[in-house]
Amino acid sequence: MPDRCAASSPDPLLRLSAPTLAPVELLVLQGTSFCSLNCTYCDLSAVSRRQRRVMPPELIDRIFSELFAFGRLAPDVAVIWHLGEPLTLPPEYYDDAIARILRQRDVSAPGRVNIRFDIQTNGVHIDEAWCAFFRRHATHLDLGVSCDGPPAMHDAFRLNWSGRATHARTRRGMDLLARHGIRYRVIAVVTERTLADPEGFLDFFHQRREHLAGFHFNILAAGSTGDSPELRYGPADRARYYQFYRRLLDLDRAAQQAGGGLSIQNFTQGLARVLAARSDRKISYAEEGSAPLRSLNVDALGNVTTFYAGLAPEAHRDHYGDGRGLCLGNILERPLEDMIRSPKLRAIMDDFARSRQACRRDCAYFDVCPGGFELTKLATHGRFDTSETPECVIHVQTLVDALLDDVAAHLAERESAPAT
Amino acid sequence: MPNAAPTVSGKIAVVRAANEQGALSSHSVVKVISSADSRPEGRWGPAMRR
Repeated sequence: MPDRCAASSPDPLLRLSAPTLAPVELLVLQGTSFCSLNCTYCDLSAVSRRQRRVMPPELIDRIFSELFAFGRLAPDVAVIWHLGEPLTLPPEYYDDAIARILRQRDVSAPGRVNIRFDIQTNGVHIDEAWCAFFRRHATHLDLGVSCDGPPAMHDAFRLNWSGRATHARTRRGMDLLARHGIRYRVIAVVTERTLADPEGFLDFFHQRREHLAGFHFNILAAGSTGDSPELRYGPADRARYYQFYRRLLDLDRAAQQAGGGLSIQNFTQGLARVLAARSDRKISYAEEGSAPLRSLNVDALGNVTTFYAGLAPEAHRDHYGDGRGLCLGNILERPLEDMIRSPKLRAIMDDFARSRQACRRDCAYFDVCPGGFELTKLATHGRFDTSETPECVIHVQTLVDALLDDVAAHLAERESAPAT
Repeated sequence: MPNAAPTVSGKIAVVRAANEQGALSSHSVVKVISSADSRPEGRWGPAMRR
């Protein structure tokens, strides 16, 4: 495998279409690589999830001192702990981490950087001590719980290391949050079981609506679903997903009319892009979505990646010839600014620019695409300069079709309604 | 000769025009769009598409 970083030469045409480095808006920290669950669809390696690696406080200090020193942070930054189960560490770990970060912010950039913290959890460890922690940090901390809906959907995939179901424990955690008045977001993975029962799926979350700060369903990348027929999909499934999206839209509309309803972020974000779509937009959503540095990830050992929130160093390990995937280096061994100015980052940026050029050229949905499909293209086609993947068809094209048709039905109904 | 099926860009143009005329204000999704929805997806967008 050639060293593509060293061999990469600047391409002025590509550079014109490549976004420049963005300020860091999203910093994903792997507080611990350990996870108490062994969800069958997790794309982190089982080896890493069984190791109790912990990001030391000195590493947190190092990350922020470099980011502040070079003015790399955006005015509003989200610091998120996930990529492992954050709540397997004690609340005091995060008390200390938050205090360190805010102290450094107040010294290095007083009044210039607003930081919100965030924890994504499987919910099974939530107890009174954690609720006290969440309340203690309520002014600057958000919380997300991973739950796939009712037990039949959740327990098919979200298992512990002994292969036992976890829904009851996750639900107990959510119920405890509700009792303490702590609102949380939910991320729910969609599988064949969800497609078979959209009513049961949405009803589970409608019942918890008043406690939810947000709701987003997630369809896994087709290439990461392994052999499970309940997770696999392809372009031939377009009609089934279209029906699923339309059904969710109908169900949530009915709930809204009855005084309930969720704000389903897949739909609100999708329609927001449709309403804002302009062919003369200077920078596309796709470019903005995976702008280099906008999202920065540091694992528990100090390995740094960017582009994708939570991108693990082992993803596409050999593609850039150094055996480190898209990892730019380790912040304990090399200054962050060196990584940012490295030929490797430039090579990745050029590859991603090629990817977007192909999408802009070939795809009718480009203006409304959230982007972030560069690595699924590489996984599907072995190259970046192609356009469509199964994820594009199901996640973007079909969802946009469903939204457009739902709005068209709304307009037709409005026109046919008798004037009052 | 039947009309050709509308293109995606044609449908988007219709929806955008309707929105500019205020015809979508009562649509169930439009009603709950927030300013944050116009930002690029970060947390659960690209993170889950690799």
